[in-house]
Amino acid sequence: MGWPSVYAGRRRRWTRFGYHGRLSGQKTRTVIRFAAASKSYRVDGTPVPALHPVDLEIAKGEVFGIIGHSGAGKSTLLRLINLLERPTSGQVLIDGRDVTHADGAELRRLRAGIGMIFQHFNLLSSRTVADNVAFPLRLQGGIGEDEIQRRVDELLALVGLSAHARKYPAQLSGGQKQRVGIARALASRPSILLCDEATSALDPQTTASVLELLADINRRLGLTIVLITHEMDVIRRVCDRVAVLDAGRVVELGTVADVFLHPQHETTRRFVAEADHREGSGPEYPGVPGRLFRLSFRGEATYSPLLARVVRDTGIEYNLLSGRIDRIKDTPYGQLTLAMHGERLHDALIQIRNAGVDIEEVAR
Amino acid sequence: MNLMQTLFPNIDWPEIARACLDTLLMLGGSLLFTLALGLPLGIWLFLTARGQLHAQPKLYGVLSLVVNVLRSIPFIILMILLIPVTQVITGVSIGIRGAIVPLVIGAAPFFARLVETALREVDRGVIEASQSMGATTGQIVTRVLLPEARPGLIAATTVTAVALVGYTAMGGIVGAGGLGALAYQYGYNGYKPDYMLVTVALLVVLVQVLQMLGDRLVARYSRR
Repeated sequence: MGWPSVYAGRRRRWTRFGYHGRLSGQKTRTVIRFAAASKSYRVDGTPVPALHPVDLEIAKGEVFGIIGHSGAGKSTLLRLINLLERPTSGQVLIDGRDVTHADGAELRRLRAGIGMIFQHFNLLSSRTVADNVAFPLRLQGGIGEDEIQRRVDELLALVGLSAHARKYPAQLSGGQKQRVGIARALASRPSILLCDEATSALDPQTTASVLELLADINRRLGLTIVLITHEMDVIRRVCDRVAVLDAGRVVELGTVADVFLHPQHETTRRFVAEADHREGSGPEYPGVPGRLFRLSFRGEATYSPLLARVVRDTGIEYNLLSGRIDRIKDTPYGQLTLAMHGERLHDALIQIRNAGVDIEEVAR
Repeated sequence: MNLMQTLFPNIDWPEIARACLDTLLMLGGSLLFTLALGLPLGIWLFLTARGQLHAQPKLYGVLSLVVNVLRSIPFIILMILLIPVTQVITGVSIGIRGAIVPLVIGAAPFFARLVETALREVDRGVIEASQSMGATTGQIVTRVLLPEARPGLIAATTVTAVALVGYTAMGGIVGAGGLGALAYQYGYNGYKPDYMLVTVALLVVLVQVLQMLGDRLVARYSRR
């Protein structure tokens, strides 16, 4: 059974574009660093921790995802970057500079270099689309009206809203409003873009198009994007790396492929299961003979006819119980759950592992 | 003209016209000063409230108390209490100029509260977005809060203007002049029901016009 050969046509396409992570082979530079940054709020006089000390580095040009349930502290973590929240202890460093105590003009300059978009868009309802996009430029001052007009036209073209410049936000759809939000966030040419649940209020189709726009901006402008979400699917589509937040702690951190294919923490497993539209974590297949294994393919391995070869060489038998073939950002991956039995099962497992496929036994 | 004579035998129409003008002058003058005083006070209340941009709970407590005290004194009492203050500020204690001081002191706290409420209606997310763009508090007030709350502020102005119409009529009792004074002096004390009817009708028309104007402006500036 050579299921991967069905995808042989697509394999060539992926090889041509190169699906190795954008960051591999490049020299990375840290733009955002949390050094034991924590945050607690006072509730009735007693401090309640929202975020336990976090150490985290985000590299230039990467799309970094933070996933967690509501109340996990992801919104606080995101707001520490542009100091909408101040850390209770520890430091926040942007481009190597400690900005923890920045205020006045320094704080405003810092914020002008960090764009932000929001779940509920937060556009000024009393201003037109064009005036909303021009807003951060006018706040900064010292920029000529001609130049502002030029920049606004350019940004509206980038997000595909040139025809709507004179409309008010109330006349736009959710997806269009978020595009205005993105154009506004990019107006002052920031090097960092923060996304606060930017697609959570949008339908799946609009979500896809907004994520595509974000990925495109990341590629074209080399912008560092930090996004928070409670949907693993958002992480899977656009992020390079992800941090999983649970009760104010980073419980898992790694490349999206690693975290997605081999979730370690219980919270991560649940998020991945949700993204796979699975209920619970361990599938049970009573009556199916053999031992259960989960095979995770990544990149090239996804399209090689490995299983057919293993069956031919070792004479084992298998039942395919569940499977999924998809992409993590630009990397194809596959994950199969198999029941395998046969005398030379051990040899088969070694052959599969040697082919670069991760294999783990599933308890039943 | 015969019909008018039969229906309104006692009325001196030029006097009515003069009273109308007095009422409009008192209303215009006091509204102007009420807005000039109440708007900053309302913004101040908004900014210093707990959890807001410049939260100063103690200062807010004091401001709030002053506003509440001024709002709870019945206007007619306030007017009498303020006579010495009025004399210091305007040099007179009665007439149009004399009435404007108590009118403003009575209405400004009321308007300030309405301003505070209107500003609270502005989406917190929009304020946060402006902060994330590096806006100063001054910029947030002038470029975000006031424009975003414009319909609410216009509605607050309308309500205040209507309340001031009522206050000016009360002012008539202590010699401020205007339609209220006519209604009281001739209509009530002088047993001339036609005076009462005409002055009240004119006040109703005035309130109606103000409300209509306000509603139109609110509709024009609503973008939600």
